[in-house]
Amino acid sequence: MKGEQLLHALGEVDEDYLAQVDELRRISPKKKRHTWIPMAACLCLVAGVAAWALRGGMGMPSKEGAEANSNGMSGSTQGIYVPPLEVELPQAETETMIDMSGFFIYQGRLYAQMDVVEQGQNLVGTQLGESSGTIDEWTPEDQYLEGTGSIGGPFYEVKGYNPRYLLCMVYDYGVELFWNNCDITVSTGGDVLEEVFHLSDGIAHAEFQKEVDVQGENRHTTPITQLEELEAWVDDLGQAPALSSAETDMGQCLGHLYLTKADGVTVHLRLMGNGYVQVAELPEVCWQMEWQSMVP
Amino acid sequence: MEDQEIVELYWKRDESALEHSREKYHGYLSRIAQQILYDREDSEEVVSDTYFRAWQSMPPQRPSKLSIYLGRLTRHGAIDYLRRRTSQKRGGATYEVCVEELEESVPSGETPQQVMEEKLLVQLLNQFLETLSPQARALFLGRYYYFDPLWEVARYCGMGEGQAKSQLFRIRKRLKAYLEQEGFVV
Repeated sequence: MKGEQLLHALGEVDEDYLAQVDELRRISPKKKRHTWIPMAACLCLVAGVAAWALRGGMGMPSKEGAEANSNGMSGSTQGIYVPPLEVELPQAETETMIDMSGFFIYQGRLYAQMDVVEQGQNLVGTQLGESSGTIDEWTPEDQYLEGTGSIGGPFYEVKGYNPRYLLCMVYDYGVELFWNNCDITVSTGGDVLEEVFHLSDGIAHAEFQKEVDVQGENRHTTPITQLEELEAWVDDLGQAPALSSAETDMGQCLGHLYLTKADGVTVHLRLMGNGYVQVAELPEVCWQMEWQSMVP
Repeated sequence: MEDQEIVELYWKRDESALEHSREKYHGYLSRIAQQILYDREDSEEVVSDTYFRAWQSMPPQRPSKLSIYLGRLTRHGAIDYLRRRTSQKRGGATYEVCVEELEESVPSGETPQQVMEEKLLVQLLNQFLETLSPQARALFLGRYYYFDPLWEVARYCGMGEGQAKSQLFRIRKRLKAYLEQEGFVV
């Protein structure tokens, strides 16, 4: 069996690599949460260079300034601007590393990997283009072009959603959603929850998970049965003004809310200390919102 | 006791080396075996055999990282054990899934063994791993070396399970392309 031969050969790989992984596996979960902070530089490298390109470096439609919103979200002059990820100079160690974070560029916007909907075939709309999948850390800046990305393959509209915000790719393991979640301005919760995800369509299923259970082996979640109350809470969250996470006294993440619509799209909210809420894929922004009464 | 001191005991043929190894690494090694065999009793047997193999191999071996060395022996031992085990119903679920997943990374046509010696394949794998970021490498090796379940790899790599799954998919595709580029016949 060929896969078995590869697995066997993997058994002989350099012990330094194994030692790095081994160390990670043995650190307690709480510490692991911070293990990849240095990786941010690596991630920034990829997305950051793309950001440069999106700012006009490759001849794409130019933005009208930092506050302009490529998504056209409302309240762009009042809200929190989420910039393209910053370019960080690669360190020698990371200079030639491949990171597998998926993104692609379409109509001057960067769509970043967000979530997988396993039974999401019903979401796949018209094909809008194809990403080359040719971008990696070796790619020179002038090759960050329309239709390129770190992930290759055709991408599609997500049925029922604005392609300015969400697109998808189709894999054997499900439909992967991509969100244009940078170079945007967020004014209220509704800019994300409603404009992007249309949560007012209704929440079909919701689960709460304590942070400790995210880290634990059983990954216990608790279904939320009072969906009407939850939807009312989401409505209130939609009215809440966006805050810059960096400028709040937001505490640690204490729990998670997974709001799943009937079409399978799930919005993952992080429930933070001191009464703040974030959308998981948008950590730069938060909303102050009491959430303790909503969870089991 | 430090690893090098334990290794020194092996070299001196001091049987307390076995006890120190067990004391320090038994849980760690059991976990490796368990991820492959899914059977506590079988795992215990494999880990016991690991100490025996360590005793036999040191000297001449003088590993710089005893944990990795013993872990490697355990992994080999567990895979061999699994192959020998006649009943397929007794487990090995993660191992089997990992084998299936890695099938995607092997170019079609001739098998790796027909194309190159395993040493060369190992060399290519090392080169490929070097191109990965630490996070991607941890994800890949956590899954395919240690056979950790997806949720666990995702957890210690600091990402969601869906993200881990899709990133692994991309790494396997990259690996396939890399192996093809390095001479595997498609």
